[in-house]
Amino acid sequence: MKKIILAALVFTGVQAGAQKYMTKTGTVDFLSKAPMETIEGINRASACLLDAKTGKVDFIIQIKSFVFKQQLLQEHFNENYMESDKFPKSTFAGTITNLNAINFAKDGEYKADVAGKLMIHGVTKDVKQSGKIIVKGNQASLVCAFNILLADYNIAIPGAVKDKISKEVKINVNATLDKLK
Amino acid sequence: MKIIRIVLVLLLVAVAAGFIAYKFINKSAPDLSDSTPEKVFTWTELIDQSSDTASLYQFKDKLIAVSGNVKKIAKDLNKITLELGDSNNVSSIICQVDDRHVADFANVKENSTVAIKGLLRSAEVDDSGLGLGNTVQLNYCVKSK
Repeated sequence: MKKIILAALVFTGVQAGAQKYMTKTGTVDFLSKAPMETIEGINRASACLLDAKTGKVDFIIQIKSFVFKQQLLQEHFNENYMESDKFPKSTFAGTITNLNAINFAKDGEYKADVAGKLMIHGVTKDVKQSGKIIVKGNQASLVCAFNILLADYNIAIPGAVKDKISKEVKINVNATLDKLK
Repeated sequence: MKIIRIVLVLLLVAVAAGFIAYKFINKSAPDLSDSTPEKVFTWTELIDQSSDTASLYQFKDKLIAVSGNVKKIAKDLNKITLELGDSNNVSSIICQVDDRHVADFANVKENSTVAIKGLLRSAEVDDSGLGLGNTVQLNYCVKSK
């Protein structure tokens, strides 16, 4: 009997240890709404790793992979604002702080509080944000929306276009991660 | 009469300049379907070369073609992103399909072979310790003919 209980405990431990989720096709988009112009960029090649056992969450986003409707906006975004040759990627490394409230073994939608370090344009800031995790079968979707101030990340807006670019940008994250086997 | 003519000419020039500026500002990203790639890879060749970023970056922001197994198809509204690779290898190639050519990929299935071309945006060696493998990213992807 003891052996069965021990085997069950070991098996449970192995299952919990294996609870990692990953995607390389997560979506991150941003929206800048200013009186004269709305600018929208989308990146559907964001990498994300989630450890359901520890609550650790990592995002890696290649700046050059943001896509815009207008070619000129894409050039300005990479060359003038994000300086993507100098700062090729943005990262987030954080932890789910209410991990006990999320049951990765049961399908459902759970509120998730995340705290960690967000690095954009070479500047790292501590951030806390709430979002949701939707568990469905072998997938977990991370959904979150938040605003950042460009000045906080040393992203300068040239005077000539200061009416066209909002000082605050809304960022949406939507990544569906697959459970790793 | 001469002044009216000058004003009309100036107005015409201003309208033409405005039109050209508008077209320039709103110019969409180039459609790559008829462009010739600088280099053609298989997905394994591209992944192998991604370990030598400096060498691969001779093609950065240039059009390259790659063929290989479709590991994953991510669909979001009318957008498609393909991941080329196989289930035994965490390294992969991420291809963001050009919105104008999503319909061309309607019949592409996971675990089938596809030939695709797109602009090489990044190649990253997994040095983060996260276990993400090497990743190559292509934008504005279209089917290779």
